[in-house]
Amino acid sequence: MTQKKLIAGWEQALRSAGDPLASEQEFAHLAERLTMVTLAGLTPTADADAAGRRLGRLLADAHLTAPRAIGQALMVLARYAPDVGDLHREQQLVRMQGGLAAGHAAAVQRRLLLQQESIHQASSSARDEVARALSDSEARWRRLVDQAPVGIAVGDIDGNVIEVNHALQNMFGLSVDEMRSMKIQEYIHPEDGAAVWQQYADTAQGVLEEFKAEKRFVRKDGEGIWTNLSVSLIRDPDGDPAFMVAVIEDITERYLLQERLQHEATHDPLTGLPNRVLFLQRLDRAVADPGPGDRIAVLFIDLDGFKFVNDSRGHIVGDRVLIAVAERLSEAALPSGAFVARLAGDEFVALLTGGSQDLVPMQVAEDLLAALKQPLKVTGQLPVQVGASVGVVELAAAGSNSAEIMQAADLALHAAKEAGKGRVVEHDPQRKAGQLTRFQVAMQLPGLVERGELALVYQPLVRLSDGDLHSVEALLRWKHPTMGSLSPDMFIRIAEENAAILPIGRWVLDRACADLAVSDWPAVNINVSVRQLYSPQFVDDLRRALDRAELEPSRLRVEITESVVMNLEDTEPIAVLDSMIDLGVRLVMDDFGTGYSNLAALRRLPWHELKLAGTFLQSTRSGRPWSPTDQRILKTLVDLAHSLDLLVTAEGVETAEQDAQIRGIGCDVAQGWFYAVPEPLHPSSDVTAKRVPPVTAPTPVIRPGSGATPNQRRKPTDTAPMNTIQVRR
Amino acid sequence: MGGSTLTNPQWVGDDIDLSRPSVSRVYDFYLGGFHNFGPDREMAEKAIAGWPDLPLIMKANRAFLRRGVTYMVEQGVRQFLDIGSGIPTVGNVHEVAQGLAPDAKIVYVDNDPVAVAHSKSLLEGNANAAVLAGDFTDPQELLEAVEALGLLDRSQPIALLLNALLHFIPEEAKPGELIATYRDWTPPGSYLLMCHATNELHPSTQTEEIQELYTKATATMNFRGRTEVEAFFEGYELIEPGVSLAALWHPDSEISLEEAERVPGWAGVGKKP
Repeated sequence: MTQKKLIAGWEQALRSAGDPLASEQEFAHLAERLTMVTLAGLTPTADADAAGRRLGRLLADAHLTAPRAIGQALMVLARYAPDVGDLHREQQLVRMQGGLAAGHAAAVQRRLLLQQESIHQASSSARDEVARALSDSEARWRRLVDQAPVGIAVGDIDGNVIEVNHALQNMFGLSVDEMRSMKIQEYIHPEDGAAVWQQYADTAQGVLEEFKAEKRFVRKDGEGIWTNLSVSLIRDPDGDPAFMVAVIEDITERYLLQERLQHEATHDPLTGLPNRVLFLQRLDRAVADPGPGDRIAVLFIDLDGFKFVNDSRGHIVGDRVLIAVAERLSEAALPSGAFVARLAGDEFVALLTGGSQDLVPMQVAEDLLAALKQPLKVTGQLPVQVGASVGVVELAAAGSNSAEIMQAADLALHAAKEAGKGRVVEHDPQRKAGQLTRFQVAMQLPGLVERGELALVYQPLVRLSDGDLHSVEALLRWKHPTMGSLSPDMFIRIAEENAAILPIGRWVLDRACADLAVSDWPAVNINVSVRQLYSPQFVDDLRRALDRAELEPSRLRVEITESVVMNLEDTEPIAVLDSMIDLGVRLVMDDFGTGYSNLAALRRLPWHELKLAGTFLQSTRSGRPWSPTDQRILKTLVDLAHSLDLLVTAEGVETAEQDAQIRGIGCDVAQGWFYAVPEPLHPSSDVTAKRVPPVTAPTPVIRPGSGATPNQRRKPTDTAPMNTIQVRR
Repeated sequence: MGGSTLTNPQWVGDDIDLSRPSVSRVYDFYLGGFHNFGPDREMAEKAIAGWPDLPLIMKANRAFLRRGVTYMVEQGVRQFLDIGSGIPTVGNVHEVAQGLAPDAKIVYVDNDPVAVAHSKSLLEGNANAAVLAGDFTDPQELLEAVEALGLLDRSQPIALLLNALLHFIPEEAKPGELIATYRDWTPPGSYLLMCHATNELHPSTQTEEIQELYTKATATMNFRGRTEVEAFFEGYELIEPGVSLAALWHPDSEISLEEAERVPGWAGVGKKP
């Protein structure tokens, strides 16, 4: 009975505070076990204290650790006391209670210590894990930052540098300590925009979260570097600005490359001058944002006779000449502050901007021309003389546009060329309507022959001894549908720059031969371009034209500019000339006396005639006679030619005085308005009459049907709107 | 094994804050354990002062877990994924399961680094049990870690144990969708065990006080009703008697409704068809 009561008592105690985690079965088992230990401890010889300790331990092990549990356990034993029977057992029971309390306390204490230790260990190992993870993570970040290819720096908002990575140290050539010893503000660069430092201040104050900028720095060795700078703000937990992180990418190489590419894109590689692109940019800028009263002037400069230099002395010399010209022009432009550029080939341009008082474009243009007056020194060569023509346009910057300005300058340049080269001509707005731009010409050149817009006029060469017709020179005209008759100066030069010259040259040859065949002229002179001499077809063309017209080859005379031939190094054109001579065609050396060729070179080819350069007469055009020295030199030249059995022709004879002068030095043949104007094969309405220009030396030619006096007729206006300009260059 | 996952910066903070009561250590205190610190005990004592039955309730939860695990082992389940396992005190799943079937495999997961560290030392030498640091609300990462561990075989049924966990998951975390993710990860024949605190049975003063106390702990208390708890078993077939009071789920012995209602938690076990 007592045992059952005890079991019930333990079950009661366990149930109110017992281990609910074990199953009912285990639960009952524990109650039974506690009862057995209790009863065994109460036997007379038993160690009741030890039994009590065991009970306490069992309870604690069953998770009955709360103070309440020990009270309930003691109550189980106390309630059992009336049933134990004798004094000894009661004493045993008391001892057991004492043991239970002590055993439970000891077991709970042990558990407490163990579990506290275990949870502390757990928390500390968890902390270690977190710390290790953080340190790993920090180490990874540190490695990442240090090995990053971009510079990274951390600074505080007071401008102190705290951390810098390796890349940044290398970039700046500074050590960590050196970088830390500098305030962020000391990393200023003279070329920093104000915006960078304003953004920096705003970021430090938390107004901006980040900013990016292109910024320059100076390395320790003094070398400048260009960087992409990106700065971000880091706030503290309260949201206040705390640190700034700068990521700095070295873009020096890229920048320099860009600069170089930019320079290459905007500069002429030969002369180093700004090119068309940069010039137009400057012009656009000047036009786009003019100050009040600002004026713009553009000087369009084109070398006279450069093509000739190039053709006769080779491209290497030509290039050196351009370099020398560029230097001269740049130097001459310095005082005026003009912006000089090379547009293309031998075309240069200068831009002037400023108020109307400061702007003296005509003066600048004259200065530029003057700068070219002295022969250019070209390495390893004889000095080269080139002239230039300048077209000037000046106008108010406001309301202008670049294209119109350039077109106007181009027109002015044309006018300068027409006016006889070596001149400065200011743009006249009135003239614009009657002119073609180079661009327009270039666009209209193809198909010129097919469209039938070419025509030849013929100017007689008169034999001075008897006034008879010696030959006629075929001069080319472009019957432009809207512009009227254009002289070769307007288009031949452009035609020579592309292949258009070849069909034109072929047409001239065919036409001249055909016209000669139906005329009673003794001969015809034609001009041949250098390009034609290089054309493999040229000799065939010549032969075919002669055959078709059934001409005696000696009646065809090919005029070739002296210096072109004299300086020909290539074998092809020489071979072409040889073939021509073999055919029986006669060679006339044109423009004799302008080049640096010497007379000995005349022996290289069997020339028949030579034509003195028109420039010899230029000094007499103004009415001044030749100086005795001039006179003697020319006389010597003519005598020399005669000694080589060459006929000498004087070109561009316009006055009776000039006529007398050329006779004086012994010229054989003369050509010029004084004798006859260039006329078409069928000049008048009387197309059926084969007409030889009447020549009566020394009286000027008077065309039938014209009532004009010789003096009035010197500047004819009916045949061509401009001077007779021959197909050459 | 679980150590490396501790470095996961997604949810491990810069430091372990022992000044905040941890739900797992508070739970340990309720169960008579000493794996706790002052702030844990302070909070637990306050809670018990307002609701003296709390230790009893926790023990009843634990007893339900024991009965549920026992049931599933009897059904042949040998793999357990216990999420929110807390401080392993007594009657742990691996003790119960491996006591019945020594080859049973258990993976514990908790987001409390101290609980994880403690479990690690406790499980030392147990080849069939492991602990991982993980967050129930990030199923993808948690399951990746579980798979990386290689202890569980996804071709065999796995019991997902969410004992006294979901009332720490607020609605914003979409607990239903989370459970579905875990469910889809387990093969057919797998189980879900759940026990969830409710405020449907007790005066609101008591439950609100508990909620207030837990606002300062590592997780908040989100009571839910029986219907809501049943909805968590979507995709599972509930084992008889369905979602019931924890004490009434397969009790070891007869228990009165009055006694059972002292433990305000809805509990249930479901099987994925």
